[in-house]
Amino acid sequence: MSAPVTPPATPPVTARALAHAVRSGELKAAAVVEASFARLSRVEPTLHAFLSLREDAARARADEIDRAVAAGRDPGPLAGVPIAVKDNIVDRGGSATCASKMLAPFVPTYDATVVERLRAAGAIVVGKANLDEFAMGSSTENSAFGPSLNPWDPTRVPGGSSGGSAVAVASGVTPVALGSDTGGSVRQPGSFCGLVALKPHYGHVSRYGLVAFASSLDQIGPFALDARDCALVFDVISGFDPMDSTSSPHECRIGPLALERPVAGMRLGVPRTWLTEGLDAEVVRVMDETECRFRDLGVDLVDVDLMPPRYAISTYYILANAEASSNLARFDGVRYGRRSAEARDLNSLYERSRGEGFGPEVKRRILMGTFVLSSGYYDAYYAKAQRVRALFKASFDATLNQVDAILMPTAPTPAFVLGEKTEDPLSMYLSDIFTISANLVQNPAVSFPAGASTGGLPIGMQLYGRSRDEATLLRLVAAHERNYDGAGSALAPGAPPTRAFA
Amino acid sequence: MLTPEDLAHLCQLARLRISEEESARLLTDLERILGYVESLDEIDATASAGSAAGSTSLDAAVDHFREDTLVPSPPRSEALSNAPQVIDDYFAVPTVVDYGKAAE
Repeated sequence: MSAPVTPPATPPVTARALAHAVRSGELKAAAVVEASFARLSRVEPTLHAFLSLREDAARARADEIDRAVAAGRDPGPLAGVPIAVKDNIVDRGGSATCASKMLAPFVPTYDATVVERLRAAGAIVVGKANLDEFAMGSSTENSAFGPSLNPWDPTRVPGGSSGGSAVAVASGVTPVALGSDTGGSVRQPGSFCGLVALKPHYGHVSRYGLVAFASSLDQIGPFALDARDCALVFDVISGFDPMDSTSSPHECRIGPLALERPVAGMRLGVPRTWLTEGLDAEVVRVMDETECRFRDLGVDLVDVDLMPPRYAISTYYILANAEASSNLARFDGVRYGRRSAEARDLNSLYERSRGEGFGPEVKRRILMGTFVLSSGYYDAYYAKAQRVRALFKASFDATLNQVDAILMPTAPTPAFVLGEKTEDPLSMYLSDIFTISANLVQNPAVSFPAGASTGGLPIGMQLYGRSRDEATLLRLVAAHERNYDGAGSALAPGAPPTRAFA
Repeated sequence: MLTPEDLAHLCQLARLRISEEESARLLTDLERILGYVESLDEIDATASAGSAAGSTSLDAAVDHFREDTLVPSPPRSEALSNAPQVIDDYFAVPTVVDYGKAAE
């Protein structure tokens, strides 16, 4: 159905290597940006990772960075690094369509805190990445502007909702990207595309400028080729922001040295009872192999008990949809976004603008959320789910008192075929069964490449961390990278995705 | 069991217009999803500390207010720049209260 992706030409280059070369004057930021756009023009017609590009702004910013270097100034730790940003994060003068017809005409008038911090660190936003509409979905097939495709196999989905961001990195357009993770929307596409993908602890990354989906669950997180790049981007975007009332005042910077520390003697929990039904045999195999590699590194693995994951799915789809139904009430056709041409009075203005602007999955979730909050059902659904959420939090906290982190697969299967789950929303929801709990308990979690299916598709594994402890997670991932052949990793030389950077 | 009338009521609460076709599909989907989430009935959560009135963060230490300092507002032209319809310096909407009729 699609033209094959261009075969590999040059080895992958990490963000830190690019930044190092740009800061030292070996490489011009302008050349890096041109290479990124050249790569984009080759893969974008097939993969559709982007909803809008920032070609002029990116080139202008690259020139500024090159002038700064020439003048002896340091443009920052991400100097000249091209980055893709999910299109539900605002950038002044750019776009924030949320992959919805509702926001197609919207032009943001300010920068999200993460965008501001990236720019201040020298990164260059090359474009805004595709997603499931309003980040609701697990495949990018809910995008009103068409799906993104997986660079490892374009007949398959890249995962979602931050699929475009994952594709941008896995196909070599940018070495890093930002997504948002409400129930797995960074980690699951990370797993499907062979990347390190982090959901930070709730409150560690400012959501100012992120279009809200479910405010007690949403968190912005990075995609990267390896643990060190992931930590580098996290350190740039994280930290207190007075513009987000949920922003944590705690110091959370990881720093360059934390990932080098040995992991021998650490303890990993394995929720054995979770690894049963619906789990692909190849995912089970990669899980076994990952356990072996951690054992080789001197890590102790112990079985742990957690509440059954099906309750997490139930809790999540009540709470996330309840919150979504309130957050999405702001799209009313009055102040911004789509307005129906058919409206006769104020109510029909709301009803028709929303009916025309939102796609099927968004409507389904708004109505589900409205139902669980409505009179007569509130206690049975919403209040009950809040209580179960607290039980999950207690269950994870108790377990994480015994172990340093919890190891499990990121998704029950490798990337699935386009259209496979679109007719059955419940089966799509179940692809998030291992990721959702991290959002419910608000702890950090990371997906990392750990193997490949016999068909060559990436399979990611996942670590859940203690409260506020991204550093331990990325330290474990970095250690794992040193004991792993790179199968299914977009960083591996000769991986199907190619690289633009020589 | 979710009836078409229930769904119409939800659409009215959510200010969301849906077509006949969408309605049939939504009834099936919502029924299945609600059936799935009813698995929570198996859990006794009466002793749980969870509160529906809780803040968005589960960590009470994180909740805080920002300093009440004076900062400039965005210019009016920017605030209006994405409006579908503007009259003078205002967002325009269809007539909300018809004074002509109200006076009759």
